Amino acid sequence: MAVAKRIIPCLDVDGGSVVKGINFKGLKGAGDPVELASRYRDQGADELVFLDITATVEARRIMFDVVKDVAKVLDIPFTVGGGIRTFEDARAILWSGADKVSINTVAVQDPSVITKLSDAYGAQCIVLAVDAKWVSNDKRGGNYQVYTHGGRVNSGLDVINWIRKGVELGAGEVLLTSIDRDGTQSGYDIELTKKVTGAVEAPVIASGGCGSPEHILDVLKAGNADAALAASIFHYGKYTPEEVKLYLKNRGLIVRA
Amino acid sequence: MYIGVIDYGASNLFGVAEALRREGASVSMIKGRFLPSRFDLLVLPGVGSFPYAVNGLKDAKESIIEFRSNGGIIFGICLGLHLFFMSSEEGNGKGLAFLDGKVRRITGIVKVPHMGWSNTKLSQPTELWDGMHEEEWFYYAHSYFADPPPGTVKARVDYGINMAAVVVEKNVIGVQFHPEKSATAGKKLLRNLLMMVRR
Repeated sequence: MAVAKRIIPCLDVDGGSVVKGINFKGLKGAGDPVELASRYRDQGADELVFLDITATVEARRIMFDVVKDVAKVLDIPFTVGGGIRTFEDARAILWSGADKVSINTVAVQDPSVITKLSDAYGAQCIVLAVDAKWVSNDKRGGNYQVYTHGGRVNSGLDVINWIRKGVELGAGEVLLTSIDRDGTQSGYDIELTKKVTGAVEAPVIASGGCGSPEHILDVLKAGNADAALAASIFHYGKYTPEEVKLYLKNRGLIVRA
Repeated sequence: MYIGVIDYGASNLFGVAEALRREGASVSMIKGRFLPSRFDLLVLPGVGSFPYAVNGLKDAKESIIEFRSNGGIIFGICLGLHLFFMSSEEGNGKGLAFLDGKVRRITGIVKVPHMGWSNTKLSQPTELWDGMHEEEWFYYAHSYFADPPPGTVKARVDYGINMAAVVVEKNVIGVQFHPEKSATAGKKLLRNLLMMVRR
């Protein structure tokens, strides 16, 4: 169908600054979220994700100002996630100008939050973030389980069952991160992605493990993901979103020109 | 130019307001009743759900209807376009009933919501598309779509079925996509809209 596969750079924000050593040439202030967002927009990013990794609750209020500043200049959609603990947090992020809010821990702790947000703001702005890790069980193989609290706590929930439930409750999109692959640059977890895209009708953003355009092609094609999220390959200037999209286009995928 | 953006409680107005400000317009948010002559253009933004929005629109409804009868241009985005109809499959409540037809849920073999960038094709000439290619990429995020009389549809998008993307019926203009989130194509379209209002 005629909807383009999306390429989504992810920016980690700590205390109002983008971290993870992004080194674009010619940037004025290193780590300025607004400048980096505009840069990615000009480089053909289809969408952006901001992940708030700020540790303290007080410092987290800064994120609302970051969201406002970004919303003032950015003319592509952006999602904000991380540190959203309540319905009110999510609402404040949306009111500050984010197009979508992604929720993980709060959704597991109180699934009714998904429905409340969805009823008020529409399913299209509620992204269910799921951090998945393969947990093996020596007798019977194993399954993918849902982790919360930034990957520290195993909820015990089965990934497929949880995502089915989350979409039923009103999530309009799934941001699926493989904890096993995250940070490895060894490629997305195709098996996991395939399982999830086959289980729900909502769009799925694959995340965790991207190290090259080939990995992105793989997860969009073999994994049937609707979008691919990546950080390091863009941050370190190895590729621009535009270059990746051209690569995908030359291999028959539909991307936004 | 003075633009009123209707705040019906559920919507994220920020992105729309900022996109219009970037084009040099003065933008204020409107809650409840207002004086129609204060504005050159009304915008109904588009995030939320139909029943919720209809409820939030109650107090402003009369003024909106008056603005439209005075000939002012009203621009609806996504859910804002849906509110131009009498009803929606999304839930109960009466919309503005400016357009005939209905709002239906996307069904079939496609994923729902329709989320992301889709190639959108001009089907009948409109000033809204001035200076643009016959096909342009716009950003969509919706589970329901407008099904108005074919004569009012100026551009279409293929997503399982051929849906209305731009609807123009005299001074009532609606788009299914989000121009404020559609990068350069969106900017051009909003600029054209403001040109239409100035004329």
